[in-house]
Amino acid sequence: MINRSPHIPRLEFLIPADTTKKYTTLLQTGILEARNAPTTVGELLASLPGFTMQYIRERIETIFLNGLPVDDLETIITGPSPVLAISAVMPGLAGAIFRKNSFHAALRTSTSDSLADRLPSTEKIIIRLKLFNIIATEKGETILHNGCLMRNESVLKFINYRRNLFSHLLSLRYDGKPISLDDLGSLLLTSKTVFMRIQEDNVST
Amino acid sequence: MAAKIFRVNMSDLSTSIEEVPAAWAGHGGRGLTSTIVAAEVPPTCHPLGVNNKLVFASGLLSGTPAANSGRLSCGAKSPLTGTIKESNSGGSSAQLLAKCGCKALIIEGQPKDDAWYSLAVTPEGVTITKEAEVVGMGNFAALEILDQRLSAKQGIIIIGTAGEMKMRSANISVKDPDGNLRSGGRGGLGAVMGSKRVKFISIDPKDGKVEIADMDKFRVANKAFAKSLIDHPVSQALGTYGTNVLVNIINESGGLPTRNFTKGQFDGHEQISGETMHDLIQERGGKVKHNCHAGCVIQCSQIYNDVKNKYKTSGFEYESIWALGADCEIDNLDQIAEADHLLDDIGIDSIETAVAIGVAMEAGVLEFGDGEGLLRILTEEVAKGTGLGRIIGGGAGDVGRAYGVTRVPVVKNQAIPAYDPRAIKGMGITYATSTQGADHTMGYTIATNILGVGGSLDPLSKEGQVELSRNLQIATAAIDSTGMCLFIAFAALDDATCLPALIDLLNACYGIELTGDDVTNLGKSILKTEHAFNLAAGFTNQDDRLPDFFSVEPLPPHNVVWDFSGEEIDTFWNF
Repeated sequence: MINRSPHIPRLEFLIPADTTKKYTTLLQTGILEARNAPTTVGELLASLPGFTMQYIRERIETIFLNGLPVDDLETIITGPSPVLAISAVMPGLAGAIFRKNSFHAALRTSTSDSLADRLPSTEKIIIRLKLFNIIATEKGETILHNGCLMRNESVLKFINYRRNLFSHLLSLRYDGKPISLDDLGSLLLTSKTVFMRIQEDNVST
Repeated sequence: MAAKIFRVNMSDLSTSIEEVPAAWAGHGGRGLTSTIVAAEVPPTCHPLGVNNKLVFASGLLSGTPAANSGRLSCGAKSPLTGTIKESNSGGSSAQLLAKCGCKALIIEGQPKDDAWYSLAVTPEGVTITKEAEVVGMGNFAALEILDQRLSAKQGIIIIGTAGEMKMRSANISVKDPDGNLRSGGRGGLGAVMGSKRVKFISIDPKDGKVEIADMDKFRVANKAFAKSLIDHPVSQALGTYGTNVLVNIINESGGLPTRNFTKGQFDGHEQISGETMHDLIQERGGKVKHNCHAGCVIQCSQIYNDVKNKYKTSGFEYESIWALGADCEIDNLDQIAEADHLLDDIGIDSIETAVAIGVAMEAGVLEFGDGEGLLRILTEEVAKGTGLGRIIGGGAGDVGRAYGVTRVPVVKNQAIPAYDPRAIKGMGITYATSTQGADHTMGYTIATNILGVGGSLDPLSKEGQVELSRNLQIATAAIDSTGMCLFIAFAALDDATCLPALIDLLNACYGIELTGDDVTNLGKSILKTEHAFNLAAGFTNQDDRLPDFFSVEPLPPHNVVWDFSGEEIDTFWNF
């Protein structure tokens, strides 16, 4: 029997030159990264475009895995549907409490999450990776230019609450065919994920 | 010229200038307001009665060129909590008050008639004038008139209609360098100002300056201090996203109180996040970076424009956005900004009022997520002082009592802000033990090790956690006395030059030789003074508790509960 992967549609946005940074907030909702298990937080981050170990150690000061703070980059990614969130250093006592290896980490709440969330993932896993604040701004352009897998509902939600941003869109293609933004909603209902890519129009400028 | 105490008696409409008592000389900001309130206000008095006093004090470094030194402290017995209270704010007035040579402005008594008054502070003292024109006006309309009447350089401290109506959540607003408003929001001190029938205070320092004992040393220290602030990554995050950068992180942790504290995550968090706010500000020609007082180098404030690119609000803080957003399940940032603007205009605390509305939503007064309903209640009920408006203006506790709601997130009757203590228990210890009701700013991330207040117990034990919270509160009380913005704390945590530079600034300013230990002792003394006032007012250790529901209702998604016993919390005061 042939094991055929489901078709993942390609969504390509063409936008004016030098404007990709405006779209990096989309990454707060998370991109989907497929990896072979087991893998660690550090390994995953180091595999992303533009993420050096120095950047990961010094710039990414706040990490959550399945909603729990992570201090050690060697932490193995666990759970059936892991969610990893990365951020720069955050303000306030709460920010300090959740910071990597923080003196204030003693003020965290201990949790007893479900066994499934603590078990190592097996075989191939899909990790939802959320990039927050300065991390998204600094590294998001490359990710969006290279293209990334995203949940359809996340893309639609972003388009809906940032409608003005998309008024500058030069063209939109779905599996290579030009479509309008209004057509996108119904097309995205046909699958759960989409491979999204943003390209800048460097020709007309 | 050494600074003096300016005193105003509203009962006989007299004013005086007094020498600073020796016991008050080493205090500024919160340390000074609490010391004066503890010394002069009977702890059992009615907060809105003739015996309460309203005290304004600039910080020890206010009026100097020290970076980020422009916080104005306001203190009294709180009508919301019944405890001693200090609430501080940005704006221009702290610096201008210091330049007037006013170490503290004490307003006591109450007029015998129904007239309203304004106060004018200059280096020569205070004058009292009957006021009619701006009485009954919201803050923005009143400011527009006062801007025409007064010179642009004068400072203004003002109450809105909530203060005039003596609502227990009324705040005191302070004009900032751009003519917008900053607020000392918590504890209802605007109602105390209203009870004195003072609508506004103008401050004109004329040619007044703050003397600095050793200007050369001061300059060197200030340079090091400012550099440590500017270079810190948190300052960069704050200058880009404001404090609202916390929405995504706190949501991720499961500690973002949602739907009146029934959930720890909000589905609409992306629509109200700091990242989204930053993008909308840029798209609409606002300012992502803005200072609330001259000399601020962090610039965490911003100018948020509406969809028509017109000014809507500034100083759009995480805690306000959380309360109006996640706690009420409103995911429309423009509706939240409109509500923030209305709250500023009415002159009422955006945390207390929004949490009160969250409780009202649970009571069925309006639906969760009803942004239009929220705006209607603010304009038609709270601003006009209807029955419902006054219940909401009385704070979350009043709403719970009026409607029989038991899930009321308050400590000492003050609404718990933006961090659920079940998911972030360090915040819970601070909420429970704070001398001023639930307040996230009472135990900040001060570098306790540098100040010599590092813990001696296992930090992972409950005793150790209480000790750490205590040490943070001690250090915070000390910083609050300097007039410094608490956001200096982040640099102080990581940059070994920051806190020593701050102590050098104090030493150069006053020609003294303070050490870290002195600063710590100052913090301890402030906490003990405040605690003693509360005990004399009738508070006991039983008031240092979180509401029951935090112990019995697990918070999704981690399903955690608050698990500190009363005995464990009570160890806080063992110092």
